[in-house]
Amino acid sequence: MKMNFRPQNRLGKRRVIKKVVFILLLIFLLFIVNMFFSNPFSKLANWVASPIWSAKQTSFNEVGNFTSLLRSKKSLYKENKALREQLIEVEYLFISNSALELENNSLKELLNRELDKDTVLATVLSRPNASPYDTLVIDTGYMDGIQIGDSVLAYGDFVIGRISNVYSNSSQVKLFSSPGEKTAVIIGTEDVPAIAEGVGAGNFSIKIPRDTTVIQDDIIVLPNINLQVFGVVEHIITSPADSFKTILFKNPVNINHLKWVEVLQSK
Amino acid sequence: MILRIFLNIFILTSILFFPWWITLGIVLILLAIYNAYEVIVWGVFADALYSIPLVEFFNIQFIFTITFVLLLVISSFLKKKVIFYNS
Repeated sequence: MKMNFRPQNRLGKRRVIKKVVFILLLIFLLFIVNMFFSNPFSKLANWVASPIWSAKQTSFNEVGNFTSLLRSKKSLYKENKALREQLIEVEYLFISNSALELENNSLKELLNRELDKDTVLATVLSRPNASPYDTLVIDTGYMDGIQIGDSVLAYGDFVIGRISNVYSNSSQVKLFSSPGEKTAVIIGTEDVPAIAEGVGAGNFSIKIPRDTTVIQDDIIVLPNINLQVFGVVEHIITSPADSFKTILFKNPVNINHLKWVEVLQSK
Repeated sequence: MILRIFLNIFILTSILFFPWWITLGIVLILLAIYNAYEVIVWGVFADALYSIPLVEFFNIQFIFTITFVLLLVISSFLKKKVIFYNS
């Protein structure tokens, strides 16, 4: 009996093998590059991307100004009224906060602690959702005196990350919430020391012994002479079988809506 | 060809401005239509812009590149097997 087999395409097979070998070599090369150089193309990529990001920022601001002119008077009146009420509340809060800050600073100065902080305002060019690495890109670089390791603050006292890479006119910020990133923090009025572990997208988890006194809404700060708010305790998970409890919290600042940050320059 | 250029511009825009999963989606569309080797360049570009060593990724700073290379291999393999591309 005669049997028909599908003719094998040896040339085709060879081509596939060549392709696979090429790709494996490429991945191997990347690993080697990764071992010896940290992100070798980052300067070039930033040189390409920075002008595009800046152009987008400028054009969006212009469009935003234009569309605000087109809104109805009624909606503007309503918004204005609501904002005025909110402003009065915030003003009182600001006065009491300022008084407390002043008192706090004068007490620290009595103890001969330096409190002046040099900050540089920066625009956020790229937010963490653009990549799975959970990084920000801001528009200030070493030309503005930024250095690797400088702290990045949002709305004055909320610390969100540190500078991980600096270029001439832009910098990369590694957020404390980056997956696996560990940061020493202090929790609540009892000053409980702990390690906060980032789990991505502005979220954190802390494991502490079950008997430690931590309650919901306790404030979490960085161990620093200046106040640097890290987060607020949101959920506490305890289990009778576990000798540890897990504290879950997120950054009080929504990083995906941030427009500006301050970079605290190290001396 | 015009579609290919358009999709590449869209990938660049999405790397710079959109969430990463949109970039991944456009790369998948491009790979479904063409054997687009340029995705490797886009992967390197995205990694160069955003990557940092993270424990979660075993400190590898080429997550985009590796993903795009694997997608390219899988797509070229699937195209040989799927009758739609052979007809």
